[in-house]
Amino acid sequence: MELQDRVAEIRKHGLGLAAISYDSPETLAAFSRQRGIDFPLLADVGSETIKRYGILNTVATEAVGPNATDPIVAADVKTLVSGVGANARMVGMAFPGTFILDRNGRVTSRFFEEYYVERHTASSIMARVGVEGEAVAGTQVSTDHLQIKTYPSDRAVAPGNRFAIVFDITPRPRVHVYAPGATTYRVIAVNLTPQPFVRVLPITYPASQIYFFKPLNERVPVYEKPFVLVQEVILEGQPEAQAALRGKDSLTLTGTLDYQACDDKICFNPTSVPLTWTLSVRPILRERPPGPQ
Amino acid sequence: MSWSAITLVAGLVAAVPQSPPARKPIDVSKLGPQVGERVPDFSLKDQNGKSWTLQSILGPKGAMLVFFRSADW
Repeated sequence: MELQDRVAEIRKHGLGLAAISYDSPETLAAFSRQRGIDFPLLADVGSETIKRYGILNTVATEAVGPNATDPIVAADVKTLVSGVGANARMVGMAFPGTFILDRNGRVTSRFFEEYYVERHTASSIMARVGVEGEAVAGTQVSTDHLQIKTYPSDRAVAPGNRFAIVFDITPRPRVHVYAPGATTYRVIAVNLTPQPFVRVLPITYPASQIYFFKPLNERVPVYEKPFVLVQEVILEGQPEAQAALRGKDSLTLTGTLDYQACDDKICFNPTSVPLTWTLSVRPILRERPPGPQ
Repeated sequence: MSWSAITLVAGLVAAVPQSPPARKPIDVSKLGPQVGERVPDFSLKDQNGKSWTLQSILGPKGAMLVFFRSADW
């Protein structure tokens, strides 16, 4: 379980960690022994907690009931239950996802999967919430305007993983680049070259600063302090993708970081920095649907 | 119209079965505690038989609480 690899970093950050499912304590004990899990796997037998959290997978219940042939139900079964057919053993399971809580138990962010095949890696969630993870080899680039350090959240990804490309960016002294909302300037953006079975998601931008440019009397959202961009990517996991990715042991992504920089006197031409990231591809630790094959 | 006629009509209208609203696709982002809300408490046993509550899971900076489908398949 990939989350197990991140336990030390999560704890170092001061976060507690637990995982909950509807499995019995015996099932969780066997799984825990097999995978060397050393954080709590909580047995919500009967799904009472899952129900109280409002995340019972009701589609699994519908899938084995009289409404299974309703086209909207059938579509939801494919994305939220199983692409190969649901069965009664799935009734009671939760919709999978992660809550990040503050020390008072309040949700500060949440990551719920819209397609059961596609799962956030623990590292990508950590990148989104600013928990420092194990350093993954990356690239350092210096331009006239920015110092850029970029790396993938995970060294290795499996089909279905939603991972992140992280950019730690430090503008040079007195330089700023443009943030979302800066309408007459080129907002900093990541452009990844399309490739089959790799789906690029909208980038996550951090809060920006307001720059007051006196000569034009304009206030513009910019990044002038060090900031982090998180570009999430999904390596698709449906059967066609798995078949195509079988035997592939690495994934190379290419793209550019595009921005426009200005200092306190002049604006520079838009800049495009070419970048490459290479990750290992590993097979899925497969979850078989329960019941007869 | 007399009151008894109105009552009769009202009764007939009320007796006509309404068809259930069309089922909408599920949006998981809307389910469960949202950002800013406190999650429900719990008391559950772990893989070693130890009991945990929400409070006992929370660390100094909070917690990562993961719901997964199953360890069995």
